[in-house]
Amino acid sequence: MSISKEPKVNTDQIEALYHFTRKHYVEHYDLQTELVDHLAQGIEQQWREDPRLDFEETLKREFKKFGIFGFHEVIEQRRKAMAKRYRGIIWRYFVEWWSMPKLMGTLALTAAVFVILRLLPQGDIKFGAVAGVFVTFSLWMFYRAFELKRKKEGALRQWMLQEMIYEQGLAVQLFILPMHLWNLQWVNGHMDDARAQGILALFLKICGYVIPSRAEELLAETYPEYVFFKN
Amino acid sequence: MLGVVKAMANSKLYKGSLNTIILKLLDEEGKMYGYEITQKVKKLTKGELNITEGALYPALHKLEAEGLLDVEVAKVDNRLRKYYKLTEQGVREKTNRLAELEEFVRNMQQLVNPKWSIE
Repeated sequence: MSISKEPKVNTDQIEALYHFTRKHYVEHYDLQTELVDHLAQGIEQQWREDPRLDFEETLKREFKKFGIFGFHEVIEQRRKAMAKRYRGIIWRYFVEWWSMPKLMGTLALTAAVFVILRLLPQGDIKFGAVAGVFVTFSLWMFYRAFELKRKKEGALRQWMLQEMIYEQGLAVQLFILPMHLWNLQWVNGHMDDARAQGILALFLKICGYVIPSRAEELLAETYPEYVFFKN
Repeated sequence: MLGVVKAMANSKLYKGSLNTIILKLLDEEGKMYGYEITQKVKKLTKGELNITEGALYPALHKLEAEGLLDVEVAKVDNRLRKYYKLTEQGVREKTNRLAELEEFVRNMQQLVNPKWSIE
């Protein structure tokens, strides 16, 4: 068997292909990688047919095959597919929350808070204690929001799911902040429709806290290539 | 954008079958990458059917998000290659969709070329 020396796209050209995808609005590393490999194979196929062809020319021809809108359709559909996956993750954690140990823990905690609030005499001490908890919690949320922003911006490579996790997480944190301050009224008043608030709070907790804190795990599960480039 | 282009024919007829074609190929080949799928279809149909890149990847990503495909990544030469393969759910779905397609073809044959008989 003879070993033929087939023309291959070299490392610099691979870099050029990454650059090319970025220039054509593919911002995320996961999609860039797939498209780079596709373009490289198309280029190599052209070289097999005519080795004299130049890299830029072959790239132009391969890109043309994606149609007049270039990568646009691929990016859009990928985003939709990833949003579906993200919703699936939320649902997974939501269902998990209703498993016995977690549900019992939540109920026990709720009961404990209820009893403590009932036992505390009405007045400044009660108001101060609850306000203190809310303010501390709000500050902590504020810190978390900035931490998520820093993580998102600091990542060397942008992964589409990572962006969704952090963006949603950040949005939720910023949404929750005024809610906490508004909740201060609850001390002297009453809570309307506690069940609806509870379910909303659970979704917010999942998007704002549970999912971002497990981002690494979820990214490794979604992108097999993530382990090559953990950042 | 048309998913599958057939020369000199109405490609709309093929568009709806893109996912079924992908599932069937992956079932036969085990695992494949995007470029390989386009080439394989071209080869099998002797160049008659051509899956466009702009439609193949959206279809693959959608099937992946639906849990019908699983992905694997391997380093090949100086780059990473993403392979797709069927999940268990994907295998079941392939059988259903193929049966649907076969039924469609049968019905169309009945409509287009009915075998009249006088008894």
